Amino acid sequence: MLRSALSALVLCLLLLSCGKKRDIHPSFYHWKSEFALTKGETDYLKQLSVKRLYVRLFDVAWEGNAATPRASLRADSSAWQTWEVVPVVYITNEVMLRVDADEVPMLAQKISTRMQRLLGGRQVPEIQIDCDWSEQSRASYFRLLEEIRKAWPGPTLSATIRLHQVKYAGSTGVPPVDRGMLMFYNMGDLRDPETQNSIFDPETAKPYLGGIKTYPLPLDVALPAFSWVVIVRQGRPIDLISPAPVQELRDTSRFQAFTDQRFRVDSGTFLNGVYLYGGDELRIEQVDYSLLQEAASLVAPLIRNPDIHLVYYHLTPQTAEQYPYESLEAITRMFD
Amino acid sequence: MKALKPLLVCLISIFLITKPLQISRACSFEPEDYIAYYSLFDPSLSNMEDFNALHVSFDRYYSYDWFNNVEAKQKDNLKEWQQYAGAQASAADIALVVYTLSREDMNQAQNWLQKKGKGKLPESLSASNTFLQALNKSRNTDAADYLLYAKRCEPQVTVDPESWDPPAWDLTEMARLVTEGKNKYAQTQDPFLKMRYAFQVVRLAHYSGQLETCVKLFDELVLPLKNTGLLYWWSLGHKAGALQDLNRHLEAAYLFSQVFENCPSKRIQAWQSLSVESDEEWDSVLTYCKTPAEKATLYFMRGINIDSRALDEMKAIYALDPASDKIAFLMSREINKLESDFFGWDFDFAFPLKQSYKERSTAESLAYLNELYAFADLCVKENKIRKGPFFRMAQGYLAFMRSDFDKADALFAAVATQSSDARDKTYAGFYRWVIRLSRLTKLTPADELRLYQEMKKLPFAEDEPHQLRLKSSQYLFKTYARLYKVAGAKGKAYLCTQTYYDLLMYPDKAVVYDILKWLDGLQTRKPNELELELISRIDASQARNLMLEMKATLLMREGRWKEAIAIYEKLPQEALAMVTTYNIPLDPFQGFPSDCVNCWEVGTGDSPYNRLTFARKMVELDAEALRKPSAEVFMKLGNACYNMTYFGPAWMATAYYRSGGSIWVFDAESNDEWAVKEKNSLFVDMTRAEAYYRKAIALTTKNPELGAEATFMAAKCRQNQFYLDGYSDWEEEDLKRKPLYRKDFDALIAKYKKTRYYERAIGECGFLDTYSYGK
Repeated sequence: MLRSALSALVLCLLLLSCGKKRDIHPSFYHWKSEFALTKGETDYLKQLSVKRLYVRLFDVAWEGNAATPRASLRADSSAWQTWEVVPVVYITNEVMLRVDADEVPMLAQKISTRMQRLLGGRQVPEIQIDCDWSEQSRASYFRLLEEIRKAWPGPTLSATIRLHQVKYAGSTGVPPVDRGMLMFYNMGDLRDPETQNSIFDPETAKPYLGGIKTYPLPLDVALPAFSWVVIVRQGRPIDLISPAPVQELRDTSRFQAFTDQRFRVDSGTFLNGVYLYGGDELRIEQVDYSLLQEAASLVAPLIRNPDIHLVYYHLTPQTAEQYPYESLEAITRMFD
Repeated sequence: MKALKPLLVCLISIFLITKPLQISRACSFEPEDYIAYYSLFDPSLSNMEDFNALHVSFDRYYSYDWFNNVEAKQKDNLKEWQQYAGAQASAADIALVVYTLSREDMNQAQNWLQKKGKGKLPESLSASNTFLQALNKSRNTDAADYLLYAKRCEPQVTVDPESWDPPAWDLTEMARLVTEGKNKYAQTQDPFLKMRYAFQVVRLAHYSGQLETCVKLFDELVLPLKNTGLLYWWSLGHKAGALQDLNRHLEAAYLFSQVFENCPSKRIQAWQSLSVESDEEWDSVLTYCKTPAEKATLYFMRGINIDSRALDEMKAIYALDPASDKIAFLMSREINKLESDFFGWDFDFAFPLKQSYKERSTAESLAYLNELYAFADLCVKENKIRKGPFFRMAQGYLAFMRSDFDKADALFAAVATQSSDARDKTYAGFYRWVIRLSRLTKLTPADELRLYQEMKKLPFAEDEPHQLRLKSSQYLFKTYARLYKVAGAKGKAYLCTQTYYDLLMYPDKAVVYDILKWLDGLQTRKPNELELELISRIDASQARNLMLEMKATLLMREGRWKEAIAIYEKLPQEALAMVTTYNIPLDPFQGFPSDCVNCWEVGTGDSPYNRLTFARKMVELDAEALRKPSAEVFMKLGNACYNMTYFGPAWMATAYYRSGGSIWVFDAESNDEWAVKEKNSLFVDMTRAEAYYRKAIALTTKNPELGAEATFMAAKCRQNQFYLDGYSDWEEEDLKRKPLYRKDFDALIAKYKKTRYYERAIGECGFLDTYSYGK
């Protein structure tokens, strides 16, 4: 009797655990230079039940002969009281290649102090470091992460992980952090004139999927929710306009469309503050709902951790128009 | 303090107006932030020295401090102070008082001036300071009063928001300083100091976020002074910045264009602050302009963007003000950009020109070149421009780039004869020399020497900013290299662009043999100047011996021991030292389970072998193998042949340089020119060693220890061969082939697991340890 009861209990527990859904937390990156959400953006986030925002605070670039903070966020920290904030710092790989090993602890201290200062002393659940590190910069970058953890031991420490870093984890290593943020976009070659969509292309993504399932860190996922226009002059991409001003490009008095995505400039004209010359080619790259679905269907089954922060890159006033909240809700459900 | 926080953030945004807004580089397009190319067209021919920082030029682009430009600002400011104080005050003394002296010391200096030069001066300032003397002589205590005030303002306006240190703004103090400055402005009768007080308060208002006040203060305090000196333009820049933040960016754009035009020290900031969103806005900004020249400035600012195609702007300026010097400046930029497109990094181009960057379109660039040529032609023909010789020179250079050498030469000849300017004549002569060089399709001995001698006589100084002395030499040798190559003279072609040290790193048999052939030909006559320069790229005194030594070393790679020995033994002592000074660190006839290429630290010390004694020993062993073949002698030969390759500790027997990263050039994807060059230079031949090991294996049936060793070493050869055949550990398809290369490891595990050698190999070779697990 007891044996049957125990068996039933075990079976029940097993069934419960098999049927348990994952905790999916939809979120957004805020990657602008000023934090001032419009009412539309705020409403949109509430509709999507977004509680957490990943907010880029500043970049660290190599300038002169030192790692220097750049492009700091302009914001009154009271503006983000409504949200759980994960501060993000982007560090160029050049910094990690050039910084002296001896200076890494000091750099970590500077970064964490500056983050805390910009946050106005606010507690945060997680801090994230974004760096496209390479095999050559691996040692100093990983040391930096360890030192940041020492300098600011409370919050979860996460790092962005690009697809090539998953595929070649053997050579680029696995960063010493608590979680990784898998960046499932920017996988194509923007400079190649044949590229259709450098933001996301399922065929480009597929060869990189292999290592995701076995990657030795809990992974959150960043999906692309943005668009841009690539400006090609004399065959060479020279600039981007983001988000893509799709409506303006329908102006046939200025732009000749030769496909849905590609246009030629008739004669000199301004487009969103960029002066274009006659003969320039413009390529729209965007991830629409169906492509976003495809991205989610590829990556969702590969994530094994029980909770995922699904972060869309990135929040702009146009995001709500391009991705009605129902569509992003549907994408989020694909991770259940 | 809490209440101030939003304002502090606000301050940061304001500060950025006069500093261009920085955009985060993550997740966005990163334009190429360098401009690197070879250029023969000197942009300074456009003669606009004040605008030098805007040339498309690697050096100038980087030598300019884009954000602060402190030096230029201080220089201009000191000039105004010097005019004010009088010629007796030196710039250095003024700089000391204005920029270096602390607030406390300035206070003391002011007391000293008030006491008519009596009392105590601070230690940092001497009474002999000419600026202080000038102020004392004119009994000018107002200036010292102003400087004291300015030194109190400075900490409030020079905080860099992009610093690791926390900012230390004090808005209350800033407001107090604005009020005080206004009062002092009203009190002083000195127009020079009035302007300076006005500037200080306009700047303080701007940086403290009082944008409307800033605009108002400019209009009320600066404008009435009717002074268009330096401080007027600096103040105007602040007004423009405030207007921009008040969303009046069209007015701001116009004012920035004024600052750009009139104030070199704020030129870059003004240009980077110009913001126009649409065609309608552009037209609106133009309506603010009062003269065609002002409109021309706006077009010019648009045309100097890095990736612009400024022919549009040149035409617009030409229509507005054909005599504007800005057309020439833009033309020089466009020519330099075309040079960048066509000549590229390595200056290795041929006519007709093709794009040096594969992602760019040759057809589009050529079409643009033709459009520029047509415009230059129009400018010359209509003769409305001010700088006739420049445009003829530009047209000539564009004709040269179009491969129309006759037309180009005629245009340069016209400049040389018609211009009265010596500089024009020099450049015209230089470009005619460039054309003569470019016309060559093959080299005759007379041509090659004559053009070289002409190059040596070109009248450019070593420190001339565009480095035409260096570039003309590089262009000549690049051209000669191409023509020598066509003529089959590989050695001379090599020496045109590379040296003996390149050859040491990447030995190339064909080049070495061809250089020797050429040097042999020179044994019977005296080399000319050009030949001497090429020889000096090996070594002025013993080029032939060094090449012979290298030939012998390369013969070692082929196992031609006796020929190598013969050459070594004939070398004079100095060259032979190359061979005998450095010994091979480990005994090259031993086998090592683990590859250890730089084994000095292993502790075995020098072996008795250098290249020469190694070769002699190989001759001995070859003979022994013929006379009395045995597993032992084949093992020694196999070990020697393995160890002298890239993979072994005796690599220095056959090479001069080794890098652990070189092996990746065998990756199938590494096919660029440098990878091929490196691949060809490496000595990685596994076949000879493997063949000896197989012979040893065949003779070791009764000696399992030796059998284990020979099998293990043969397995290592095959393992290396996997990578040499272009396979990698990254591709799944490649990994499927790996078992084919590991059969010897399998044989070793199956047959020799119980030998002592196997135990040793497991201990020293981590791979075998892992591979054998569970087998």
